[in-house]
Amino acid sequence: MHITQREESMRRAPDQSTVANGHGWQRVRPLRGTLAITCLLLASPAAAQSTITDIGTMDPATVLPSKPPGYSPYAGRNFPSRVFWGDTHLHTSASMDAGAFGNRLGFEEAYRFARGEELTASGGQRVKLSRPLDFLAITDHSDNMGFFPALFAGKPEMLADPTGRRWYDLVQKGGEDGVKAALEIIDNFSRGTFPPALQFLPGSDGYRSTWDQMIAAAEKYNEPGHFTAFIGYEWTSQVPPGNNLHRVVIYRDGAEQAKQTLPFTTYPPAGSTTPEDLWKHLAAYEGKTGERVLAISHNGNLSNGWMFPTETNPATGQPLSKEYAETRTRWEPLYEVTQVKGDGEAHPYLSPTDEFAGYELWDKGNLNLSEAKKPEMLQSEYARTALQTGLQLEAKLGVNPYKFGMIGSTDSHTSLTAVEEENFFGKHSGAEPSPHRATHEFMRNGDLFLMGWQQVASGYAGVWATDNTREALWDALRRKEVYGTTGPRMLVRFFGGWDFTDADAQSRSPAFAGYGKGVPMGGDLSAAPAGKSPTFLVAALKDPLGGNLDRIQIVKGWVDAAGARQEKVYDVVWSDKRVPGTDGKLPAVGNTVDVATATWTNTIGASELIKTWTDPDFDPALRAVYYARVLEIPTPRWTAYDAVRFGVKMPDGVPMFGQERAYTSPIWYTPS
Amino acid sequence: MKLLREPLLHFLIIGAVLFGVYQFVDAGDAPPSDEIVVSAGQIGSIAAIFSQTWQRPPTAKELDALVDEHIRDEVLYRQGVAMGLDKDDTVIRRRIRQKMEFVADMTADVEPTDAELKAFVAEHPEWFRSEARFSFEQIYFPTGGSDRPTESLSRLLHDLNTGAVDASSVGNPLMVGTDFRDVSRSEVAKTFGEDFALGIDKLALDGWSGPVTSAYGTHLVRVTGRVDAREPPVEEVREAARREWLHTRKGVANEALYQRLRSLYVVKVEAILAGGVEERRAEVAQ
Repeated sequence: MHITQREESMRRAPDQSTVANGHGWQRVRPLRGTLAITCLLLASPAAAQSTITDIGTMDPATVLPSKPPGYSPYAGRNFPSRVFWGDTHLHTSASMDAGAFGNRLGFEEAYRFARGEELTASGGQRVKLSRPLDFLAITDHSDNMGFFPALFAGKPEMLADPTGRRWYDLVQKGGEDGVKAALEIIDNFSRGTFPPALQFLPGSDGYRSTWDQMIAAAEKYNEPGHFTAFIGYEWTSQVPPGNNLHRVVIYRDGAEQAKQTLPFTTYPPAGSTTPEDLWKHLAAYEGKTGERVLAISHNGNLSNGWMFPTETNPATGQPLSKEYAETRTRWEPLYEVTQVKGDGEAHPYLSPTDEFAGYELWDKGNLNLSEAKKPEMLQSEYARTALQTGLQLEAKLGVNPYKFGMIGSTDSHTSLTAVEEENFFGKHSGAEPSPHRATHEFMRNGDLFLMGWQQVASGYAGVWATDNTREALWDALRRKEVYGTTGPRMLVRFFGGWDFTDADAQSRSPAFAGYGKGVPMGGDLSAAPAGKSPTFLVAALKDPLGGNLDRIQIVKGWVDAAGARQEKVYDVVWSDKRVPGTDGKLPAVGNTVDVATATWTNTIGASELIKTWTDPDFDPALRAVYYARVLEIPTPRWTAYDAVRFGVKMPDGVPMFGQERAYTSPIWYTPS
Repeated sequence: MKLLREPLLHFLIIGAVLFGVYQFVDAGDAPPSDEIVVSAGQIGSIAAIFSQTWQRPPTAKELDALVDEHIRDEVLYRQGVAMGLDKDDTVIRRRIRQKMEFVADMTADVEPTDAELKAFVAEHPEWFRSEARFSFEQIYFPTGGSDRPTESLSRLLHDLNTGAVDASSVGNPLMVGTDFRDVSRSEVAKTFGEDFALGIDKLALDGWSGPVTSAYGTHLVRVTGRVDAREPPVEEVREAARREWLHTRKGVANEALYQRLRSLYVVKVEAILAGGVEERRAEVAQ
């Protein structure tokens, strides 16, 4: 936002710069002096192995509190002063399952919609976002990429296959038949029994032209400084019978580089369902082009224990190794923690004392419900536990494979990034607004099923970056200065250091103290000064269009002296001058939702919460990880808006309101 | 040049070339043969695709597997065709329609001339108008903070403007900051809400004024700079203008082409039985 000053400070960027490492200042050499925003090594032991945890250039003369800046506190700063909102995971009609469900909107429509334009959804209704997004990555499935455009074009190789023909006819009939076709397609794909004649794989003209079209559309709508269109795709690894190991792949660079490669697929011999093979492919791309790419895993909740293994890598049957840990953390800096197919932060089975765990869960089975969930799978599926497992593995292997930041994204298959509760256009085109979408069966496999109302209107990624460009946003994703929300665009700051005081929380801009005395979300702390516990400066401001804030919590995970995972949720700051009970529990904020009219009032809660917090249970010998969770007051869920707008009655047990939330990327403490 | 840019002619030329090629290919493919030849050229192409995925050539074993897969594709494809699975009216209709639309898209994909862009921008000034930009400071008073009733705010305004009170000594901190430079109107609205953006749009330059309400509470504001919305020259919006011109042209050209082709036909639609209409209405209403 404060563009003028930032540019000034960039011009003044010195050759040798200083960055905060949590407990002081160190001289470090910039890696790419030619870049406007100089990339720096983050001078902490864990990050020093990697060249990409840059936090931007800062001039200590103006940042250090001992030398206060002039009147304008923004002059001479170039740390990220604003959040850019977007979606790193959207499907268009080029994804086979999206096309099967009736999505007819292509790349251009997806970009135009994200940029704020009103258009007609596949189901025929007019739709527009409340506010434009700042960036979008279209990530169609690499397997069978372009399958549906080709199918609809009646390509002979598609229709010559009897199964393809049957699906084609079903899709043409539309409605329930189209849905049936889509579910069959997904099921065949998950089981690895997709008819080879229908596979739209690298080597076919159709495949090549779809990837070219995707790249061309991204180039057309990418407008540095205004809107960022990332080039990307989804590698859709489902290990039979259907365990979700999906990754979204995001390129930092433009068409020239991306065109030198083809998206990695899952069908052998050219592709593979093993993440290690994806990482090899990404390494080959970077080695060849000298450019940058990253992968974001998602839906561990549908992996049936495969997403975050604790001892043995299920993909290879081998014990987790240092190499596995190094490679995973190299390519996968982020986890998509919340999206339409369920929220994956915490599960009540794993976090029984957390009254807010259990938000919008999808925990019936794997992706195609071909295998039921067993409780012992959950520890390898939810982000909070995986962060703790990562600490255990770091102690054992020397590297933490699960050192991820957290974002939200939609995974919408409608080409529409419409996941606000009052503007929810569903997971796929068959679930666009209609009187009965909530009460239709969404998916069934034998006795296991999910109902339409279980779709989650979530989420978005908030990115703290210096500018709205591919480079600046990608670098922020890589250094994990990002957070996820279930839809609201609330501002959230989270800094860790050793010297934050209450006065820092009272200052006019906590960011100055935050960057000056600590590290932002995604950063590292180590070398605890004797007798000191880590301090955290956390702040949140409500979405201008959203509900007020209930509270900010800090979630701490650690490994105890016996090597066991531990976690604790601390209420740090809350609204309405509530007083915790004798059991230490904070009373609920209340509820103003009128379900009958799908309205609420901001008469409870706070517009802004800010606090400095010191870990009261710190042991400098133990590894720990901290992240913030921000809760809104209860607001109507999309099912309540559906009930009012369509005049229908939701069945008993359908949730009609909820507390939307944000999850920050963590800050890690590593004993020296 | 002018002639070539005429859409229908363009369409017919591209169509003739494409359909000619398709006819040739179809004729070549028509008799199913019991011989499958994987040519050196095809193998080269398969290897090249692998290299593009892995950034290295395939090993002999990998290449064998890829060729096997190619043969499997071919066998199943030919068997499917031999079984007549490609013969169906709906499919053929759909295929040809898609081809026609593809060709129509290609005809719309031409570069605009400078004059066309200029005229297009002049025709849609609101699409390319730059937003108003503001520089301002704000002092924030949270909603429900009863310590600042309206009359005390006007007293404070007076004191701020006479210099009796320093701006940094009053109000509450707000995460978004106090001092904004050269921020677009839409950014102001995204940050503070639409009401606030409307509010500061009306304020005079320099001097503290207000109160202005936002999504967070009440603000006193000093606007220090303002750049009005303007209609920039074509050179400044060339990329956006080109994108929108192409997008608009595609829609218009496809529709115009369809109408011209349709005019070649005499279209007769028979009346639908009453019951049928009712059923269809019910479906639409769903």
